[in-house]
Amino acid sequence: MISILKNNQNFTPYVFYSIFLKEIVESINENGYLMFKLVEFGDEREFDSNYRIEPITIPLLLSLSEQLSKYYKEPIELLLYKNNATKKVLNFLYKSDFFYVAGNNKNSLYPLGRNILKFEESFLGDFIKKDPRPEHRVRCYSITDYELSSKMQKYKSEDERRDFLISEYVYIVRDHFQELLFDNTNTSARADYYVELLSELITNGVLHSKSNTFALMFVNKFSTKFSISDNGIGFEESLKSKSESFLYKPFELKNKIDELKILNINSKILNNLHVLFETLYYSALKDRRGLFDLMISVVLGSNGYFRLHSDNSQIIISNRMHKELKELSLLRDNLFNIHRDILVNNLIDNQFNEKMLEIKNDLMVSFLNLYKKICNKYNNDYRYSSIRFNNVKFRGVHIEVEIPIS
Amino acid sequence: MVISFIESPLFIYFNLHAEEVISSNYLNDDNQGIYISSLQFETINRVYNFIKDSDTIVQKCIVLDFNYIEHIQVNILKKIIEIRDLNFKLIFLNISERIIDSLSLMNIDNEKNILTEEKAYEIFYFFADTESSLYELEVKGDKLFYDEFKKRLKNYVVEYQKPHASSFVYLHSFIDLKKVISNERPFIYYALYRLAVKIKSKWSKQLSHNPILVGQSLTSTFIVSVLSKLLKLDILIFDKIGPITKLYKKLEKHNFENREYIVVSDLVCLGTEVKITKNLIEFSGGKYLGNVSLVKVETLTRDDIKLDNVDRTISVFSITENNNQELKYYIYTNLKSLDE
Repeated sequence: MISILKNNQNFTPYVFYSIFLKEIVESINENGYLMFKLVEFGDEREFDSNYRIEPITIPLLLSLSEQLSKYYKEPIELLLYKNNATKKVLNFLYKSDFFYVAGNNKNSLYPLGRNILKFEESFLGDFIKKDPRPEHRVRCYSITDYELSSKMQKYKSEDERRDFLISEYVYIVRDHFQELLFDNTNTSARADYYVELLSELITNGVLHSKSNTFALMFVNKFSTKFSISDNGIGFEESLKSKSESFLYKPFELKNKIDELKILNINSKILNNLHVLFETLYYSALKDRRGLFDLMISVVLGSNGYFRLHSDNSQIIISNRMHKELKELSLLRDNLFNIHRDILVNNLIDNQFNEKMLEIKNDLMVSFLNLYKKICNKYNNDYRYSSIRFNNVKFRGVHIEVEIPIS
Repeated sequence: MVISFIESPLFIYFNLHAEEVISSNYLNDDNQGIYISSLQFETINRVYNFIKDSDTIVQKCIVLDFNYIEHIQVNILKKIIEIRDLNFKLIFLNISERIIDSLSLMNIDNEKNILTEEKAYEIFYFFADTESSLYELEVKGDKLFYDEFKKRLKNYVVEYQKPHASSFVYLHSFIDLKKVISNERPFIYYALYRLAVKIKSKWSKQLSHNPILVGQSLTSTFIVSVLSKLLKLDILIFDKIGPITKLYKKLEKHNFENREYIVVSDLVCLGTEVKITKNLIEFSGGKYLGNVSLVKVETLTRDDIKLDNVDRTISVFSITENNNQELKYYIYTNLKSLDE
């Protein structure tokens, strides 16, 4: 049996990736099945234990439980304890709708249960008086909700479907998170922009996973954080479906960094990191604003952190790479501007092709430099690196964004 | 449904903020009212489909009004270009500085486009022709609305066969606003949207205290219900207040103390009902902010009833000395004029 919350250890995304995932694999290998208990010591040591969960870990936990429940074809059992040590965390989880989303709730007054965890409901209720903010809730988005899936069929091209979904989610997300965005001066001035950013990330999630995407936003004295997690096909599969154009050759950057061999890491895991780079590179070449632009605006525009996790690796993009990001961002803007010029002025001849290829090559070089710099830092001291590797594969795309309160 | 579509001989006009308000409040359940400031794909796609499916549009130019739009969903420029590709010239109105980049306006090389001091564009020609008759066009959202409203209103003016007494004056004709509201959908929603915008700009401070909208007839109840959604305000209905009937319902159930009220009517002529309602509100302890209506009759010159006068009605259309003959609307008394 695996305990989710350990005594005196805040259950952060870092703990989730680096410790919790490992424990799960070990337990499954050992027992052939899996069961959760909420806290390490259960009903024992209730007066000298302290359990805490970082709110933005909740989407990860739900996403993982969903994967496991799909694998076992039944909801995963979760043992709850109600005592002095757990009352706070139980209260928070309950009021953040965690149990509604994870359980089998059918009452339409509350979020629809996704049936991924099984727990004793009699432990829930009669909580302490303290209520967390009503906006601090975990949300579950699915392409099957609000008849989105059938509405989407009206649009023929993939890009249009995406634009349609983003616009639908803008209306939903605004209702869910706008109040929280107003609490941070950094986000309130650009609330429309952040609502859209979230919608775009959720759209990516539901499109790739074709099922549930979990999201939560949390504000405290220091920053606004949000976390979005899906169980989708991941970046590599999505990239495989991209066709070659005069600007983009599939896996062009990845093939180059595959040859560099700076890191001495298991090749499967390394492959995963390289796919992350390829994804950002692909996004930087496109004639549409996308993931790359989101990342740049979070880091350069709001001085924030953008943590991107998929399968085995995570890359943390922050102002520490300011110089390299600035360079990439300038090149990207130049390229995007040419895309726009072609669109707006309806230029059908290929007069800009050469110029675009030139920028593309510069982008490639900049990405290579960024990659090298990050890898060398990792080799120097992996603890302070902006890349992290986990032996355990956690399927899907998991994004955390953190924007400091200025 | 597109509410702000207006035809002019040389162009057609859409107000994108009004359309976005419809998308967000009615087609999606996003309770932002007119406070929404971002334009989404769904709205522009709706406009696109409207144009594509219409076979009566002969004009070759489309005017898109971006007033109150401060943010544009990424990547929807493509949809706007698709509208252009239906073989139209595009003119944009009221472009704020914040959306210039999203619309890639810097990619259009046309010296006729002039930045204002606020680094915005009042009008932007989304094409680069050096010569075009479109540069001569005078395109003003307010004027377009006024002309369109007048054109539609004319069809609902019913002339009385004999002098009709109302509030101790005679009316030459009757404007059937109930019919206007029933028949002129969806355009009437655009008029109500404009009324909501006017209310917001007139009482921007007071709106944060959540004043209550007061309806006092069947038609004004409809208006109040729409305004309440657009402005996110509560409503109160006074039944049967009219110039002739004087039947008041008991008012004890509602607590008026220290609350603010805006009285809503369909048409304000001499303002008798408004004044009755105002008295009721003030007598009951409420604070009267002012009154609004779709149509008002300006019986005095603007010098004699100043902007800050609490009895001055806020409306989206005025019947004045400039249009009352055209609309066949006249108020008179039994007295003889002195020179007769």
